Amino acid sequence: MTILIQNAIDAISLGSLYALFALGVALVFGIMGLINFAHGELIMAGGYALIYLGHPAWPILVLAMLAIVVALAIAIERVAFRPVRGANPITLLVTSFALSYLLQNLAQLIFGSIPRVTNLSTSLSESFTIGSVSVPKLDVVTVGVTILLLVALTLFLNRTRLGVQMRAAAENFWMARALGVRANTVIATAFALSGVLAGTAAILLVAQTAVVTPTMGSSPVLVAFIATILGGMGSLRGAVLGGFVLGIITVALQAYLPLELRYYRDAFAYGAVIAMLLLRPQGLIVAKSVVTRI
Amino acid sequence: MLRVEGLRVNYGRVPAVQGISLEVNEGEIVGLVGPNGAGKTTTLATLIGLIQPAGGSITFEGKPLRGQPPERIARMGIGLVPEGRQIFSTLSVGENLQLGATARRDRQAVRADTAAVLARFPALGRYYQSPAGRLSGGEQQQLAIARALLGRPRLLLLDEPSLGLAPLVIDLVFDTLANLRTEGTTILLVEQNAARTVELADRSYVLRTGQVVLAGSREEMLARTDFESTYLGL
Amino acid sequence: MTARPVAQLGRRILIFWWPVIALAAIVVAASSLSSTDGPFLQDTAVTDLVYLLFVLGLYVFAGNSGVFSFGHIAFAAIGAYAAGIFAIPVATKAQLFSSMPSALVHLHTSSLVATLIGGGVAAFAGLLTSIPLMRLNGLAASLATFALLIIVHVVAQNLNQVTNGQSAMTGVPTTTTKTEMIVWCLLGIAVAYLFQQSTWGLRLRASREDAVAARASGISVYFERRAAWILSTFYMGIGGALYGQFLGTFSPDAFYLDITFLIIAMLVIGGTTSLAGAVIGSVFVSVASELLRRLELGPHIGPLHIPGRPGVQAVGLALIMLLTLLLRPGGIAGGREIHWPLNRLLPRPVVSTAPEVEVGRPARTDAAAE
Repeated sequence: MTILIQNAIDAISLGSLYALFALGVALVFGIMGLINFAHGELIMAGGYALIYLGHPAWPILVLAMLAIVVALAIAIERVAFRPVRGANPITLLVTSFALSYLLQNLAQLIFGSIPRVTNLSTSLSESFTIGSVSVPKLDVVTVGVTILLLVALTLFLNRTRLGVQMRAAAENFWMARALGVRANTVIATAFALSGVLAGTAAILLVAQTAVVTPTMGSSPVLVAFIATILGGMGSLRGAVLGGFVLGIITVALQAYLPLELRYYRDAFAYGAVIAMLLLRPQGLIVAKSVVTRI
Repeated sequence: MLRVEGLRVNYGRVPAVQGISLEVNEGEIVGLVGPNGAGKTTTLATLIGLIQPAGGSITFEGKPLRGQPPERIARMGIGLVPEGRQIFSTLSVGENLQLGATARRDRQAVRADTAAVLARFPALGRYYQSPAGRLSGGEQQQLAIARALLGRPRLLLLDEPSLGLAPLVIDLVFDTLANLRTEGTTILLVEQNAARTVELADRSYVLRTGQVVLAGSREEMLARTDFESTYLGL
Repeated sequence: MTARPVAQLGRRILIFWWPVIALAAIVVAASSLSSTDGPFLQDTAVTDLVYLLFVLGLYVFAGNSGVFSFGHIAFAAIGAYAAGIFAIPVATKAQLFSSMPSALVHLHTSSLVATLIGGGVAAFAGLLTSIPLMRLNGLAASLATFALLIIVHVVAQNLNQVTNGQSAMTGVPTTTTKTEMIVWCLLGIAVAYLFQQSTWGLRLRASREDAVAARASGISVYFERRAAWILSTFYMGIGGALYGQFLGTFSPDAFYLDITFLIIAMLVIGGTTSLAGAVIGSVFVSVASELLRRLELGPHIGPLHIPGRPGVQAVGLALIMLLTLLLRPGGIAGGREIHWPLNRLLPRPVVSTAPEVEVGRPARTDAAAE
């Protein structure tokens, strides 16, 4: 029973983290039809920012790091994605792939490939003990922060003018523009928001693993990729759901798969992705007006 | 107000519009009719900046429209009621209307206009909070028009508003357009329903395979007996 | 009098095959450049030719169908492992691979047969995967191929009995020579050309230009795409087999993201939609990579020695690829083949279409309504 509760806590915590990853990718996809492989490098940039920003009080550290990541996200959009805006989805995909590769290797060039160690916060690595269950503080923080961000994002999208414009643009980009919605503003906002999500994910990841490497963004972006497809690519809610489902499945497979099959866990996950694309592609079709209507 | 000269638009290598010239003067309703594939929708889409033309010029109140992005054209005072309504089905009716006023700063006036538009189209008021996807075809058309009106456009472009609507609703739409003209809105109306359009409009153009084949005032158009042959190319 | 029809026939053949001849000349010229610098550069030439074969494989599918695949290297892995199992001497296998079932241990053939088996197994895997994957379109298909790459990678890492997993497959006789690679590449170019000029190839390209019109004229894209996919996976299998028999030792990581990025870069930079693009892109990137690698080691410019840093090569390549995507999306070749320049008497050589929409910008912006 204890093990079950322990696993459940792990699952929810991991699910939250995955939901953050997925949401960052889904936000940009919803508006631009672009799967931003470079999102992982935003997380990586957040990690290195945490290392190089030193040891100010943690609110300042967090805000400064977020500012850096958001700036990077907006810069990426301006420099790499705006010129190919409106191109077919494959061009966008390949561009983001190339950008991701570039940033990873650039980081390697600048920072070296040796992992950097952080001691972000030793208090976070402690645990509460409730009865026979030990709950890592980090898990609580992860879930709490995720919920907070989700609520904030929902409020933004539903209650502000810009948020309504973004939802409209996500549904029908051209019509939104024909009403006066500024494409540049909406897209930059989407990237900025994904930057906030990436930065947050960076803190949580670094707090968990204590290590920063140039390639630390690869796994999260692959996770985001799976989660958004599982949840249906057009929708933000789907991405969050996909993240949680993936987190739960991951923990469940890890705990309950027979040993020999455990290594194939990722293979199962990606098999599920292919199955989803074949059987339930609604998310992909609903997502973008770039798909021709016939 | 709007002057189009020698407009040419291609889809890839296929010419869709091959040299169209037309004019819309302030306070008029101008009709643009013709069979399917004549280039009517393409023309409108080009006017609003969704498609880049291959040649020709477009000026609105003296300012060139070619090359401008749609959001800037909208902010210049051109409103669009597109083919198929294109309302945002996942957003509420209220949010759809709110988007119509995207470019406006005058909150008070927007509120007043919203009330006016809801008075004109009571159905919208009933469903104000509901997702717009729940509305019927006719109601969606009303929403599309209302949304465009909230931008206080000086020129309103409508693309086949009667498509797929019941006759009573079509009556409502055409009555609304007539009323709008009385209130001073300039309208460019693209329609397949040639008869009603020519009757309503002050002037009309007939398009066929990307070119203007006939143009004239209401009286001139109604007097023509060769309308069918020109229209259908028989 | 009778000489003229023969001359005309000869001329027709020349003009038809000219694109291939020109490309073959480029390949042979480029690879002979390397022989002046000793064995180290010889090795680079073999690797570059392997990459060329991979790019040809990717092109046969992606260039013709307009569907971009991120997963083709998976089939190279399959080819490499299959060929490896057949190429490694029985005694070596018995010694090194303790978990391999004896049925596999006792398989052994010559290197050529092993290569062909590698291609065959890969093509068979291609056949199986084509059934579900070719039902998908555009973005969905590309994402599915990416998933496929990862699946094969994970399986290769863990299926120890067959692949020896992370401990790597070793002991493969290193039989691949530069000449052998050149022959395979030239064959590859010729076959790719024939395919794209064939009915199937033309139908695919028609569907690529305008999927709706193609469907309307009765072209079922599904089977044509499957054909292209299977042919392309055969290329990957052969290339993988040859690569494995060049490296001698390889693990699943040799067939994963880095090499995937490389061949995609080659195809994109050269131009996705033409055979010339595939070849030129491969040659260009190989040459550029070599230059960048020397930069990485620290070049000597006269008396100056600029200290090099590892990673410059990768950054440089990514930059070139990005710049191509942003500034010249059609790639170097821009979707065109190399045609016989003097073409007065005979009808124009068959289809070479400039890209409407491919890895590149659309010819028109989509309207809210059509």
